[in-house]
Amino acid sequence: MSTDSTAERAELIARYRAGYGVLLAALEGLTPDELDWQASPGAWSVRDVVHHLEDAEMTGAVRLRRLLTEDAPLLPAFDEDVYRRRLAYASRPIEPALDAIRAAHWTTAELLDRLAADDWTRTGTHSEEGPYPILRWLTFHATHTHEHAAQIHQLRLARAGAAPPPTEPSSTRAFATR
Amino acid sequence: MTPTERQALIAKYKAGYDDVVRSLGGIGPDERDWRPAPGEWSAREVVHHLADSETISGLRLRRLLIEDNPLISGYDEAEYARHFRYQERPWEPALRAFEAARTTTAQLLDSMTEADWRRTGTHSESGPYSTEAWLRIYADHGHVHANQIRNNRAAWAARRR
Repeated sequence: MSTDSTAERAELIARYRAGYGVLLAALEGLTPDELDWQASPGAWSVRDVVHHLEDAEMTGAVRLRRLLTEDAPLLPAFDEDVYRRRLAYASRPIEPALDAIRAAHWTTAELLDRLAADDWTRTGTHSEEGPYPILRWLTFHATHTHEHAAQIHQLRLARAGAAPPPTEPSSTRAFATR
Repeated sequence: MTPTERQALIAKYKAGYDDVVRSLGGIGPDERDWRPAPGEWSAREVVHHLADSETISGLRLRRLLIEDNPLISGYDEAEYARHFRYQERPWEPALRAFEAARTTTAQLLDSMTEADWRRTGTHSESGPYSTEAWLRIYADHGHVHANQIRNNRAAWAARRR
């Protein structure tokens, strides 16, 4: 393993670990109206984003464990819009979701810190995206929470009228988690 | 299963985390890591097992609710304990993961309709796997491991006498 790739991995792990704090900062001082505000009918609210992170980050935690213990596991895709619709995101309190995101990151970061050189060669297959090596997992999850924290900032700004509302009906598209 | 039976099992599921916390009350540092016999888990390993198992089971319920007849893959809990070094890792993050998986999943259980309770999938090892079968297993799971911790602690106390 080159020094560069070791440093790159360490940087990605640090970013993964920082995601929860960045998410909390994005939610600071949030009002009940902001929590459920939608840029347009059907668009994602801040509450939806937090529940999306709950399910996506728990799913990510389990995917990493499967990649590390099974030989070439098949990882089923995650349809974020179906999760949102079927699992009542709009009506559930977000505190348990935040606890779940924090715990998924906390326990999973412990595993990332302990990865051996051999572990980085492990891979699986994503049912829609194909080959899914550990580095791909890490590259995605290092930034996923940060991207949704930025989305929350944008939603709050849009609601305050400081920026035009997102034009896409489903404003999470750019950060799609499959 | 009648709605009343289901409600009783959901209540039992919700009480599982507190039962584990009670079983750990006042546990000493050496006691946490003590294995009653070779190959058996310490209290620390049980807590890490609960974190992984309950996160996995929470996601299984979500897939049962969302996908049509999902294939639920089994996992090797003994391999997880070894590979993920349950015996070496701090247990506070694991307790938080166990609690959060339960709290979020309990929200889903409370909102399930009659149609949701008829949904089913297939487990890679045990075959047909319905939402009701899921509830029967996980209503007990926390309590089973709380009792395992209590048994460990009783054996630990007897050993020192």
